Amino acid sequence: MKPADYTYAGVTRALLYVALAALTASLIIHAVLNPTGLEELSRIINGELNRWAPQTPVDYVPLYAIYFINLIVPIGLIYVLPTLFKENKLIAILTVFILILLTLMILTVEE
Amino acid sequence: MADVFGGLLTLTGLVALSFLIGIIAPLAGVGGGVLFTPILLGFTSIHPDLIRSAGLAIACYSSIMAGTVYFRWRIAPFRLILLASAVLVPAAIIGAQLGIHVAALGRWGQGLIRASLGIVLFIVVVMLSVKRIDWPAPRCNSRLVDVFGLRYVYHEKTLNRDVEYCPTGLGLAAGLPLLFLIGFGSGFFGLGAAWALIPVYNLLMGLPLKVAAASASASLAIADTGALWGYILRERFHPELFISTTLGVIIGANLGAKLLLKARVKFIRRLILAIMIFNGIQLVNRGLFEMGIMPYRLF
Repeated sequence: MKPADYTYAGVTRALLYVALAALTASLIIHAVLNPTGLEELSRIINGELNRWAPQTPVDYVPLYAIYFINLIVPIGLIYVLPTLFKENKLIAILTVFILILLTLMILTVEE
Repeated sequence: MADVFGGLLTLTGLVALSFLIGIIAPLAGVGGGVLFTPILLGFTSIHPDLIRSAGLAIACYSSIMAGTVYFRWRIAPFRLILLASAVLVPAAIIGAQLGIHVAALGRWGQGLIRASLGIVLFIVVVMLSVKRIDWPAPRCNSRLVDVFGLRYVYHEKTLNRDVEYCPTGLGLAAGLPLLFLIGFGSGFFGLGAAWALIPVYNLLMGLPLKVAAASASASLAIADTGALWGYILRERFHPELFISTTLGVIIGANLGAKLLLKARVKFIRRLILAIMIFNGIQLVNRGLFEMGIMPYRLF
């Protein structure tokens, strides 16, 4: 059985490459199909905009790409949790604590 | 159409600036996020929330990338980083939430963020000058080390031998409260924090310098993920700004790491430290001006 750190590194590396490709693709798709995002950049530079929410279906493309890259760490931790339990139970419990915090953060923040 | 063209130019400019920051940051011995956030907060009118979410993303994704290499080589101790993350995650989340609330106070709140970040920049410069220990003697007799399984061995090519390392029990106990402060700062300012973590891991916990640097690079991935969710779910980001700057810095940092081997690092490092000091003065001045404490803006 491979150690948890080795497995975590492998999983996060594979996911990171996919996520970076998805981010790049989403930026291009969004800029082409909904140029409003580009127009907003000029307003951002002038400090006129401080938040962003999806308005059209195309806006969800970069949003989901950003969601995906932010899920790499939780996915990696969940993936290695069984191995961590075998290696060191206390650290595994701390990892569960971290995962609970991240889940609560994702589920409870409302605007 | 003109707005789209202007936006495209802005996007190109942002990518170029982020790419440049990504290249020079490793030459100065800091992460891209440490230069990105203060420079944009100091010299642009972009809202602090949008800058900090992008800065956090740079710190977080760079840290994930560092972890993919360092965990594999066992230069970064995975279990110690998980232990540290149990403190860093709540701290970074609290810092991010508080940062969003402070920025929402308006001009005064944004001024407070700028002024305090300016002071943090001075601390960064001081911390970068602190002398470190390459090979502290391993003292693995603590019960904490055994309980959490924190003994590690890796093969050091430059010495051509296996190096055993572990944190000292006392350093571990003393370091955890400091980690809370570091995580809080990272979430609040949207800043990478390897500059603060390296002395904690090296001087306090007694890890070899190489291990401390690798651990610091890989530590913030978990903590900043939590903080980032706060910014994203509260809609404090903009996809074009977020993605373009993140990609720019990450690609630039990869090139910067290669240049590190060839460039005249000492000169560049001094130049960047000078820029950071100037940036710090400018941030304090602008922040105090926005808070109504200082009557005029120097820069």
